[in-house]
Amino acid sequence: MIPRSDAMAALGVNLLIFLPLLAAIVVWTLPERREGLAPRIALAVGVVVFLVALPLWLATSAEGLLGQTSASWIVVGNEDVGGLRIAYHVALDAISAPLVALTGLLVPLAVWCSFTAIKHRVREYYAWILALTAGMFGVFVARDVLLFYVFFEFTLVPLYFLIGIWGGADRRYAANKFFIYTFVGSVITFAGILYLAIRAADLTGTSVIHFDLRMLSTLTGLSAAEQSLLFVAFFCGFAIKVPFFPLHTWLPLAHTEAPTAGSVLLAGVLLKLGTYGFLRFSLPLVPAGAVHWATVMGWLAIAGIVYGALCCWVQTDVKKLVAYSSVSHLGFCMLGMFSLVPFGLSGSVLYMINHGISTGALFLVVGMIYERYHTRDMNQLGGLARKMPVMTFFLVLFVLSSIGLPGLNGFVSEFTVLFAAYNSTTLGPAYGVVGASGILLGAIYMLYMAGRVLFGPLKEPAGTPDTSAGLTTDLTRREIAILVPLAIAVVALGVFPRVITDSLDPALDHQVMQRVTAAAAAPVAPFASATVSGETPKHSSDRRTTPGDTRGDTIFTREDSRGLERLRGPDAGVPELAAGGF
Amino acid sequence: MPTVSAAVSLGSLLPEVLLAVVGCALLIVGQAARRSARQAVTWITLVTLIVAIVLVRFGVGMPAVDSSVVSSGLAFTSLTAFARMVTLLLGVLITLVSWACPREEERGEFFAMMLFSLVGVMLVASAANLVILFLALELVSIPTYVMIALSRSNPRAVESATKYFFLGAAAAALTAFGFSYLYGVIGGASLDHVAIGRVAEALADPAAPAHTIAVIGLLLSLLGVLFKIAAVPLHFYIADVYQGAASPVAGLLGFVPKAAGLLAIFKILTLTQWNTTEGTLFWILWIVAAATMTVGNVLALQQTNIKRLLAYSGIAHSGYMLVGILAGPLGDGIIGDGTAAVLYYVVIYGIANLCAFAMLGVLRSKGRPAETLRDVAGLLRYYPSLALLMALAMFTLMGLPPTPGFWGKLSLFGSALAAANLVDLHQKWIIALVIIAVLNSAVAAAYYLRVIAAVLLYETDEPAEPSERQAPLMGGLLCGFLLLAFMFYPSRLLAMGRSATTTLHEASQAVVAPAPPTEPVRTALAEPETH
Repeated sequence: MIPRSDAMAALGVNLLIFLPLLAAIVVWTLPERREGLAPRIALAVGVVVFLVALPLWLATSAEGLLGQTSASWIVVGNEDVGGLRIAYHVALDAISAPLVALTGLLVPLAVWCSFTAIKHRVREYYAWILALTAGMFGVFVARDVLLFYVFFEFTLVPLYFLIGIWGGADRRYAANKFFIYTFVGSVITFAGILYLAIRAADLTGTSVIHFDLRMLSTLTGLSAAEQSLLFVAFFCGFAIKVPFFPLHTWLPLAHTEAPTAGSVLLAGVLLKLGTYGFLRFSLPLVPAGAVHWATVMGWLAIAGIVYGALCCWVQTDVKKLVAYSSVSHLGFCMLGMFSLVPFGLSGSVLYMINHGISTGALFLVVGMIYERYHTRDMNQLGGLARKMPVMTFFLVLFVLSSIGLPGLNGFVSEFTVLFAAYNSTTLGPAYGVVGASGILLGAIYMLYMAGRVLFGPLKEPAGTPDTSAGLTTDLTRREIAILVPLAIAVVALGVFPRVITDSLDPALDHQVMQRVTAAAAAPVAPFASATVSGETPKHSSDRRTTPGDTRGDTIFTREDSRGLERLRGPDAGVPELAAGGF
Repeated sequence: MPTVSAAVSLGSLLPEVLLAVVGCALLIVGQAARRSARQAVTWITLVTLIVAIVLVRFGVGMPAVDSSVVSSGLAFTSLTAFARMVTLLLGVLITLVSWACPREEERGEFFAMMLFSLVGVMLVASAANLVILFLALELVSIPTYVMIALSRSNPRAVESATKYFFLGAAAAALTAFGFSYLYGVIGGASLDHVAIGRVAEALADPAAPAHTIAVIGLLLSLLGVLFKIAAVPLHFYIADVYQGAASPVAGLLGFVPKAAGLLAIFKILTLTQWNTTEGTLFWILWIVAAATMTVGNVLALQQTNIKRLLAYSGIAHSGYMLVGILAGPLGDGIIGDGTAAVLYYVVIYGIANLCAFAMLGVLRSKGRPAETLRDVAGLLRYYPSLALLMALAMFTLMGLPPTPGFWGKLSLFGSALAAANLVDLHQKWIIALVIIAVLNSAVAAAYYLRVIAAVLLYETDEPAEPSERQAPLMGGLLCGFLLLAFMFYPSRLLAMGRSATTTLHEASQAVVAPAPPTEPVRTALAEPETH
């Protein structure tokens, strides 16, 4: 199944976007008497995208782009008279590929879990899920910043309808709040992208304004003040999407009201659009801005970790608890990223994947309980382990993964992230220590929830469990089949995270770290373009063998590197990369 | 400069003449005793517009591009070509949408007035003389008063027509007053390079006696024209007028007066050589733009009547376009050229607005035309195509990517940022204006979403019913089709807008330095020869 040629890979990448889009139209326009086909078509498409995404991820290497397709989309004017070029440029690289695989994994499961839950406006529902799928893949594979933005915004529309039509009692308010909140942030990001592209055209001496990611992420010459402001502009859009404390207030409501599939995709993939945005755009495009704001970001991250965890503690609604846990968990993710050390970044990406799997799985299990008991209130539920042993097994497994039990996936990323924060020169031990308290709190609220729902005397609302929709008291075979892949992923990534990090680490180092290191080395030189760009590759490739040799303020030390190797095994060292563009 | 005889200049007016003649004929046909003759009115209008499109498309009636017939008060430039094309195109859509809107015996007058109004827009684009410009602007406005009154039998229509008429007349008086000052500065009515030189000279020297006169003239004439695009502080009429008029006419009001007003602003600002990023003019435009979009959006937030909501959102859209006007045509390329972005945006806004009003015009709720959010609730279940068209129009107006409205905002705000990159003086203020503009488009999302939510999210047992007529539905579908086409292929329209503004670009650069006081005429005339 590994794509043999680049043409095949390109076909696969485009298929990820256009197949769900096409299927969405087909599903929507199905005649009424064929309504039963809609879920099956959606599931088939979901399985196909998974089967396409997984080999694509396995085929990505540390360097270079896989399955590149580049075509001009909107071209006005030319080099002589000046103009504008927006390209349809998609490709996978080692940073985006794991997220594409995660999306590919969660989509079919989200579709499958809706089979019994969705009973009205069925065709529309699956059409919107498929449209959302196309948007999510588009975000991760876009190599043109404006194309990224188009997909980024496009994902709002399907999710708006998924929450607003099929959500809980307060769905319309939740949908509106979600849409407007995220839209406000992203329009400011849009202004930032525009400004950056115009400045870039000016700096590179071209009169055609374009948004190519490679050009923008190798750009030099922006002043520190500009970068700092641009970072704030990017922050507005991405931080709301993450959601980053204190801009998280839309999330619990949206999560609680969304249908199960919506919550799974929202937590599993859509929140990653924000963190991916930070990693892919904020850090390499405006590295000086990132360095400048890193401490503030660190503060907000640990505030979010602790605040989110405390909020979880007092919830009685299981789904809301899982929703708030996302705020806490994504705080860890951002903490790792803004430690600005290589393994912090890779821990942060791992965290994105692991959070997507464990939280997605938790939402699935909560959804399954809700379908049977029509409540998520912990005061009304209890001792379900007696009646639902299989469900109990899965819930406990995912809870343990979420709180970072060693051997399961959450542990690796959580530990790496905290370790990075502790060792970082921009952040420091204090951040690591406070962040670690989040793990403790996480264990408390998660186990507390599991204890109340699963163990103790049996408590059920009257007239439940409701098995009218073809459900059984314990999980059905379909539901087990939905959870098994996630359980496998939880264990597999726990014991062998290198399957992701082997190609991820060098790519992160090359595309992100070098830019950030260069910016940190020349913090306030506004136009130090020539020297920095010329010397960066050399410095960074020397970094591992002679750390901290020339600069006192280097943000990467030998101890850090050893710590990473201890963590990942003896030969987890990162291969050296040739200098030059990626 | 080629000398052109009167005969040629009449031939070059062929599309306008065709529309005007047919308009006069419709006045007669509409009164015919036979019912079938009266019913032919709409078909005649449609065919005329399509013939005119063909004429314009194949260049009939256009002398060589950019050759000016200044002596006759008209200059046929690429701006004319663009304005003709899009006006006729929108004219076709408006005809379809308002097909059955006026009563049968008044249809002749109604469509004649529509044709006259469209002629007015095309003439504004080619006006090269203050008098012609004023007359063309009035030719746009006066028929719209009549159309509003004719559009429904409801007394509110007459009320809104009267209101529009009196305020419009006052605004026209302001424009005329301003033009008279400009006449004094220029020493003639012609808007050619000589005029640009004189105005530039007057503006450049604050001590000169002509300076005050020039500033007053510019401000007054701009103020009068701002009424046409419903910019703050001359925006108060718009909600009442839209609400009183039938929906298709309200759709027309979103394009016809706006396009004419913006083209007139282009003409007036060309006189100042687009010195829009400096001095008084900058501050006037900055404050008007910021106030217009903010006021429009804040007022729209409070509406439950969709017609009023769209009216106030129309104010906000004028504000966005003023950002492009502030950026001016001086930068490079589509992103640098604010006026090209404005031309693109006004077309997209016109189509999306018309699409929304077409849907409202088609729907009837409890026997009355649909107007409020409640009236259109739950449409998706019963009439999915209408509901989706409404949603598409709203998403376009919202500027959500990748709708064509987003490409419009991209080029408008991009042009302002590019202008900020060029100037030193007010850089931060221009960037601040762009931030205000993007935040406003986010605020706008809140009320557009209310319409979308009503149509798509809510469910109802007694939905609005579409009328039996096919034509308005066709018009709406055509609007939707155009929006979809521009979503994936906006390049052509953007490029057309770009090439339309070359004249503005050249005119403002023709006299680079203020002409020497003694012989401004020679410098101004000599310059174009070198191009």
